[in-house]
Amino acid sequence: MKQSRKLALVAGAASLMLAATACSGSGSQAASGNGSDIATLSFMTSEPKSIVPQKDPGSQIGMALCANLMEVNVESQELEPLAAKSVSSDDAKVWDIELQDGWTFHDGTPVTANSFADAWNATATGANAWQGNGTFVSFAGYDELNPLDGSTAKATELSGVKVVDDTHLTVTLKAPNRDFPAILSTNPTCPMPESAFDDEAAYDEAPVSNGPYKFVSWDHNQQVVMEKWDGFKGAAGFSGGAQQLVGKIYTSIDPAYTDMTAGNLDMIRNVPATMVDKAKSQLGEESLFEVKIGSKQQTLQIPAYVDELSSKALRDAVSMSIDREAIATSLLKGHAQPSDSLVPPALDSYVEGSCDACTFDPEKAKKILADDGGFDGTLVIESNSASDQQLVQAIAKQIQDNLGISVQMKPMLGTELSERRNSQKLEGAAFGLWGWSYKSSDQYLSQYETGGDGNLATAYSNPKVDKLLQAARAEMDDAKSAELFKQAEAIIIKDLPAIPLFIPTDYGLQSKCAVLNDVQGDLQYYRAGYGC
Amino acid sequence: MLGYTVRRILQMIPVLLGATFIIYALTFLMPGDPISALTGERPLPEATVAQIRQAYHLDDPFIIQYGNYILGVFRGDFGIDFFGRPVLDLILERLPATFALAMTAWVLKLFVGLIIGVYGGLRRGQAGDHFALVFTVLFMGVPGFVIALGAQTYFGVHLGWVDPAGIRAGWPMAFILPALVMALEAAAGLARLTRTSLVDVLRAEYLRTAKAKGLSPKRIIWGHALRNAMIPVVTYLGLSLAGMLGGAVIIEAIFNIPGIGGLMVSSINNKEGTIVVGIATLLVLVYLVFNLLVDLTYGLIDPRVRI
Repeated sequence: MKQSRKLALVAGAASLMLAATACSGSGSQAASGNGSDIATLSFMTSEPKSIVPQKDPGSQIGMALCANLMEVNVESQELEPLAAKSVSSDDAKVWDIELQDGWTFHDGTPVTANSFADAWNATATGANAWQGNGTFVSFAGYDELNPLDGSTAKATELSGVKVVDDTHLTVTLKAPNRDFPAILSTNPTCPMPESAFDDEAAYDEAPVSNGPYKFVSWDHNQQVVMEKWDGFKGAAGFSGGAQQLVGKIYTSIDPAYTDMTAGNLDMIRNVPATMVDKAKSQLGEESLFEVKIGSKQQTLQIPAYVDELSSKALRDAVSMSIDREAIATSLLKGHAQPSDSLVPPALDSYVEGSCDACTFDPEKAKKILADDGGFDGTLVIESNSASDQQLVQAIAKQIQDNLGISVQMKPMLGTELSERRNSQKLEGAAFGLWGWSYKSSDQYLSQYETGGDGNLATAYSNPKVDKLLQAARAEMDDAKSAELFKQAEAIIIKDLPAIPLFIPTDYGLQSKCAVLNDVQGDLQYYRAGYGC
Repeated sequence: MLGYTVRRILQMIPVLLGATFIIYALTFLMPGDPISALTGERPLPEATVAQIRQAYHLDDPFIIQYGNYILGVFRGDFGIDFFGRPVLDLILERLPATFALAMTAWVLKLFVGLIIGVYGGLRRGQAGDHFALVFTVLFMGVPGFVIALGAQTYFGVHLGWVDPAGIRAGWPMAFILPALVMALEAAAGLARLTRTSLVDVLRAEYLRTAKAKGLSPKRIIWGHALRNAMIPVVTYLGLSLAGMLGGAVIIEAIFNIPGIGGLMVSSINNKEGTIVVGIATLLVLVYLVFNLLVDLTYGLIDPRVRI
């Protein structure tokens, strides 16, 4: 009896062990053929929330799976038609789209005008709560699909999208927008086959699309495997060099980096500045890929509704008291450029030094502030505690030391900061990071347009600016449009609703086999060449 | 015994309700908006936000939201995340990795801790005991993540014996290193507890009686001393297994093990309340079940508490 009880304990432990093995077994067979002959590149990703392009606009996997109507060609770095033969308009408001003949989805079903229209209607339907929804805000009929009061929409289709025949459709926008072709290069405008709507849950797990890579498998929390699709008819500049792409799933960038040093991973994007120097010494100079075009900008947003900061002289003085050059070289170790305009230098509308107050001049700053009657309040700077704390600390210290005013930092969770920003409850300035979804001045300047994308942060509103931006979007001529954007920027920068700070440099890490590429400042994994 | 077990299981219901209520309330009170966490800096259009809030009942009062949630849980529906995936699926996807890690670490700890503890207890004051003391102090003193990062770099990157990150190699190769790190840290505590407990028991009068009755030393140690010394150890072991299931967050992060610890942390950051409460409920449940198992095991070891 005694013996059997002892045995029971041991047997219990043993069966638990067996259970452990049995459980882990399910996830372990998928280790994929890195050792095989096909050209495989692996990249770092987090567990995707979704790999359906419409449901996660930023998904690198979605980008590889889908061929959009328009796309940037890596070789020319220009936006070119891909799944479309042409996208054209006379007035930037009504657009004609002609599709390529004979293109199919990965499963062989034809890509038709309906494949696009159906996908757009579904994405634009607010009740579906797909993340790509916002992409369609400029389409006529969007408002009917997204009632502001949260009530059930009466419409089910975008009134602005008309299917003419199998290869033609027209899109009517709410207002003219010259960037419409660029919008057609983003994830949410991908086509979807009919089968996607028959079984949505199955499509979520194994999407069928029309891009250069087709979906093979998704082993949750471990990896997503894609394979080059033979049926892809686009030019080489729209695809990549790998025969097989494996998205290895990491919970954070640190283990991914360690895995790379062990030779188990080929590509990492969005490498933080702190990791860049470590990688340079551990992995070598050639492992580092620097994105040439700065597509992001850091600013100090000053909300119009914070009365304490309404003095233009104060904002100028604060801006002049920040030694951007010093912070860029010391704290940021050269991984950022001081910014002197409300748009990054890569955009057509950029005018060098348009921000007069962005030149470091502490004496002048003090004088301007004194002439304005000084500032005896406290400048509050709200920021994301996880990502920007050190940088904001350096900026705060400079303002405090050089201007002699009291500065209080308010670090918080990113979710809280966004909420305070979007509900207009900021108590002072906020540290902001902005980037473009596609390369366009409008993507930046709309932040300062009444009700524009990102306008909630500063709540800046100026009818003159609104009018200029509308005109710039309606102007089909590149040079004339850029001129109008420049005029708008010149007005906004004088009011300084946001203080330009830095253009951060983006880095990627690549193994010996991977040759990273970026498209207009965006590093996309599937565009990488294979160099082994 | 059966009646006792049933009573204990019934007692779990109010504990579970209370725990989920508190966790739900805390998540609800956390600053930040789950919708704005969806897209980062670029806000969703107002209309979309309104639709999502409507779809997820985010505008209902707290008590209604909690009521809906708990009713769902009783139907086996743990809700869905903001991408429409069932929370239960998300948790179940991650559970095997956490379970494999915790079990492996626990069993390793069991062997290492008991062997060192029993050895130290029986050879009290001798060189081996002192050596064991130094060993345990070392692993208790050095922070776990330092050992973890060191082991990862040395065995994973330099020697290349195991993958430094991820569980693609499957069990046991992918779990052996992180589990060992966890086990060595926890084994130190177990060894100390076992040693102290054994030393106490060896001094007890009933052992002197046993010796006087002429029992063999083997019989005394295995049949009487160890068995009684194990009572506090079993409590510790049971509860520490529950703790290991929920407390491997740092090890999971370092070795890139996709367990529920990491899911919990990211869900808290994104304010995804349904996932946080789901995991917490599960962990509370695990704790309660192990507590029950520990109490039932007592009966096996110690007839005095048998019911």
